[in-house]
Amino acid sequence: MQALLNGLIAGFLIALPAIALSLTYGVLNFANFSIGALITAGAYFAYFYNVDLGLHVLVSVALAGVSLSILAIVIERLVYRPLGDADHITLLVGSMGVAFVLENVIRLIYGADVRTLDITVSRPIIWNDLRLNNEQLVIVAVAVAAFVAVALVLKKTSLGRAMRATSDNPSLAEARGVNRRRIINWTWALSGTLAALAGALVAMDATVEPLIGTNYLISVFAATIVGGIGNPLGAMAGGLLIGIVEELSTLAFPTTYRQGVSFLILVAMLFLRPHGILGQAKIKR
Amino acid sequence: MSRAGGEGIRLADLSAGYGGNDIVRDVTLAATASRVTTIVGPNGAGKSTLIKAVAGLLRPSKGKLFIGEKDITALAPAQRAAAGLGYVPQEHNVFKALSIDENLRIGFEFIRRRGGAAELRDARERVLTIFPDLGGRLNQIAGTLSGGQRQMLALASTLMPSPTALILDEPSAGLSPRYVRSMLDAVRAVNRAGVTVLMIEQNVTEALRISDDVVLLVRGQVRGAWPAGTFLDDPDVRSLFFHGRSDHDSQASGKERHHDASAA
Repeated sequence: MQALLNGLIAGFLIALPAIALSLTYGVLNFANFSIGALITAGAYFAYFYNVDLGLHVLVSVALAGVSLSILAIVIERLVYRPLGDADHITLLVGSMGVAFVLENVIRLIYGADVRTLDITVSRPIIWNDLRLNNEQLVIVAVAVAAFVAVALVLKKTSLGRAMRATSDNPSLAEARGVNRRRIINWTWALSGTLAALAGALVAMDATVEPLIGTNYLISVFAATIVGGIGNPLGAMAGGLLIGIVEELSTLAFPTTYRQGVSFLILVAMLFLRPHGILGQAKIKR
Repeated sequence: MSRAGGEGIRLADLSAGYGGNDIVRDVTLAATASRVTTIVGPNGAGKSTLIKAVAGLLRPSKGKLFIGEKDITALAPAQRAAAGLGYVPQEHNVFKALSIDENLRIGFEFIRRRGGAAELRDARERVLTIFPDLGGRLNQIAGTLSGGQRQMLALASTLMPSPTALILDEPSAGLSPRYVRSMLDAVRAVNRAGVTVLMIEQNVTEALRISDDVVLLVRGQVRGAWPAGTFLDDPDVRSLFFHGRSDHDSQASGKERHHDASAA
């Protein structure tokens, strides 16, 4: 049971960037490899506000979200926009470049040391032999709130409709008056925020070091594909599933194989159900 | 349907094509306000190229384009829509992942940015009186609709911001005979409400049934214009449609048709 609970918590941490990845894939039509580095950047933003500036940890998490959404728009302006209508492989390679640069800028500033946020240690909540600490509660609360917010934006606002329309049929969306630039900026801002939240929450739960995001890369991709790539709401379910399966796998295999399990799921999904567990092949006319 | 009655569409000396190669040359024609004008012509005549230039998907190499008195030559598709020109593409003309209601909303909200919720509701109500079929299933995902229903939705979405003029790229393409009739009847109904219609159509017989004026395009140039009633009486036209290689154009009504090979 404890493994299930831990898996669920880990799943929320995977789900946040998985939603981000799905959003950028849907609207921009390429697999954003820099998602890992964005998670890491989010963790360091949280560290900066929390330790360097001495702000409260929750305030720091929120500010990390804002900061990374702005940084994501800046990256879009500097890297992806100049690439213009390049094909998705070029954009993917571009995003790898972004990942290298981000990670190494972080190393340049903070070095490779393992750091921790300034959090007062509190006694975990114990209920029926299940342990749950405060940080984990925060993770669940923030992730659920972010999920509800994204779902509402996508389903209920004109911005969300425009994002889904652009993802579906970009040229028709433009003919309907949707401003593509604006949608792209919002997509980056939103996925930057989600990645930052994930990074900051990982930092709260564990440590801050330059590879924390990269360690999540395979799990996040697996979650996105399980949920049906380009389907942000499916990515949430995919994240939870991957989190739980990874955690349960540690009962049978050494924990170092955790990522391997995700990788196996990823490969199996691509073979068996490339459009996601619930997905179906695109309807062709 | 319209904001200020229909407005005419006028092409003046328009040339357009791909990669510096003009496919249509020096086309001058007018779709008179509040009438249905159909451009017909054999395969490869440049109908698709012409309609794309009018829609704004293709920048003309020469000439001008007006809606009413307004010069829209330099405007992007969305700006043309805001100027009152609605365009229904032949394919990929609905958002398949969105519901019918969302398709209708998105047809309205970014073109009529200042239109409030009440205006949106009115627009939807108005459009659904023409397409009652869509009204009962507003939450259905557009990708699950049949070809005919999808074509109806495409037209309905384009009508949401109350265009004064409408351009249609082969509204009956790929439809079963039953839907060809009801689709063109819907176009006629829209026009009766005052909207100017300019369309290209391969299905000449069906198109003539609802058209007021016909323009004949051959090898990228206008060969002439007729009132719809006398078009097929013209001996030139008859020889073109009933003796030339492209005679299937006029006989195709009700049969399986091929897509215009010149559509590229």
